[in-house]
Amino acid sequence: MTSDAASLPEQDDRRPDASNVGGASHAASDTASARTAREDFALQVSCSAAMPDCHADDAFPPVSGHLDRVARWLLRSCAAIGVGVAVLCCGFVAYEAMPALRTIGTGRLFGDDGWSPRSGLYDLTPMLVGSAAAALGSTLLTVPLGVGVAVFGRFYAPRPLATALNAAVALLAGIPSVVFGLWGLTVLVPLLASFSDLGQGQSLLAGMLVLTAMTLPVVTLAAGAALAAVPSEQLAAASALGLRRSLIVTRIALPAAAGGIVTGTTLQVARAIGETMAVLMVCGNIVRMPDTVWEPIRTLTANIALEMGYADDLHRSALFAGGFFLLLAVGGLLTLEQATRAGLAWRRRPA
Amino acid sequence: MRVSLLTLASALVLFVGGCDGATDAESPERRILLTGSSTIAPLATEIAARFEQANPNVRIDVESGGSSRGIRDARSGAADVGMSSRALRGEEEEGLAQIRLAFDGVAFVVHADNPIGELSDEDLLAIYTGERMRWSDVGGEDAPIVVVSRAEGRSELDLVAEYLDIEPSAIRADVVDGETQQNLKTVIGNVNAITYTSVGAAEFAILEGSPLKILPLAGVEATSASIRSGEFPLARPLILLRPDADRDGVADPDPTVDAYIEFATGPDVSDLAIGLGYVPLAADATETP
Repeated sequence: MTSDAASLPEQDDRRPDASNVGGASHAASDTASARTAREDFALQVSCSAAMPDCHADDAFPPVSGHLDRVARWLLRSCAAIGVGVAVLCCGFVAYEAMPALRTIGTGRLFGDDGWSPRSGLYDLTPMLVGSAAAALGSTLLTVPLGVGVAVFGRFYAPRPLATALNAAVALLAGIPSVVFGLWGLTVLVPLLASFSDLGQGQSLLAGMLVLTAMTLPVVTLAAGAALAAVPSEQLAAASALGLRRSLIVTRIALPAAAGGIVTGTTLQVARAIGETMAVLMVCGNIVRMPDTVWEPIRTLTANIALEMGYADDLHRSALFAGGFFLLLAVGGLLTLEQATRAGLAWRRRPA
Repeated sequence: MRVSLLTLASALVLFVGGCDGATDAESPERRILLTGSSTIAPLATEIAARFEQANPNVRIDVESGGSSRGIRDARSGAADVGMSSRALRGEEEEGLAQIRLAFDGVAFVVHADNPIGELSDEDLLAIYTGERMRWSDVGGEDAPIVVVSRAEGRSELDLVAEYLDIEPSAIRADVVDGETQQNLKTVIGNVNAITYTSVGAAEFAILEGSPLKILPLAGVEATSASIRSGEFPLARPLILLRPDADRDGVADPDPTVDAYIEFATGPDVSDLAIGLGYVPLAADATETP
């Protein structure tokens, strides 16, 4: 990997730059325009480098011979098991949700007078909003932070620091969610309570912050991997042409890594929507539309965890219906991700 | 987390047990499954550990999941013994034998730094229905009251709603907790919070140094004596359930389960109930209520 931080120009001012040697102030504007033109050229050279996207259909020799066939069957089985488990799970959730979808109907599941299954009220909307608000709030915090950490680790941090940073992020990824929940409940929630007019820390904000801590590694690792996959020739060419490091990052590395960052963001949102234990402990679990981030919310996942053990018949099925809508949301999210990646690839197609 | 691990563990046990034929009469390993109230689960687990020491060929698994689950599982046979921390309602009693294990009280609990020493039933009702929202309204400091309640289906919620004579859905809470320990941590972390919880669990937490204060109810302190005598208004029985022996179609009573129930309600384990803050039974323990 020649694209490590060490191989990039250290600082703007240490770059040999003939027009700056004299240091005359009247040359400043000329220098600026000259640099822009040269950097534009560098960008063109770097960005036009072909990025082959190889796939089984076109980039490999045909399957032939005994070993190849055995391998193909084994791998097909792996794929079938993977897909089968996903299909079975979705099918099970849909099957269990069916009584609620039929008897209660989607109209009431989204527009009833509240959530009180014992009184026959099954409005899931406040919890859908709660799940979405907590997930999106954490995404707004996590994506800039995670990409920032990844860029710092790849392009700005000295090698030992980058190694330590990677280890810390990996460690964060390994912390069980119940530990994040306990930390949130015993440290974060009392802290937020001291700032809140409502006098309580269990809130949408607490959920967002805990989810941010939990999902930061997802974005950081995905962005880090995507940045590492940027062809080193492009970075080397940009360095050789004397681009500033910040320009290399913003105009070459990040656009090339955008697809990976989109995937990381999607995984982050999916993880945040699906998280249960930690949000259950810090969000307050009140079924109500929040007006501010200081108010408590209940997410769909927390609702399932809180009530599934106590639910019968239609109530139980309504909880599965909540899970079913979550599945649909994640499905929509994945479709959006594919579309975004396709759009990005089209924009970056070779001229 | 603990519940799911237990479920996983028991699923494994079921799987392995199924493989080497645990149902076989000659097999030395006998497995008993208890499910139900998360209030009873810690007590049942400690009793089970002691029972297993005395009977090494018996293996007892305890899964929590609420009293309703315990009642359901005892009836369906999904569990050998169900656990309920509330009295059974109407048709729930049908076909089930109830065995009292111990008593527990449910009391209102505030942070130890809260100057409030007692709340009248009227104040409690006003607090839990959202009519009084600041501690100064009930004689405390000028701070918001953070009302902590329990998730739908928990026996504490039903008991308190019944005591305050309101529907559970009429409670206007700021925080809803599931598990008891999480509930206590919410109050430990917030000086303005009030909750209701198992006296046993709260006393145990106080013994361990948690800053909590148990409020007397209707002028009665929550003590073992007042809970056992029924003087404390929010007392509840902790009940073990099994299919009624008289019921048609029920397999012969399992002697191992009989032995466990006799052991659990006997004098050899009353120290365990006391250790967890519950009130052990008097002598007429096995009497069906």
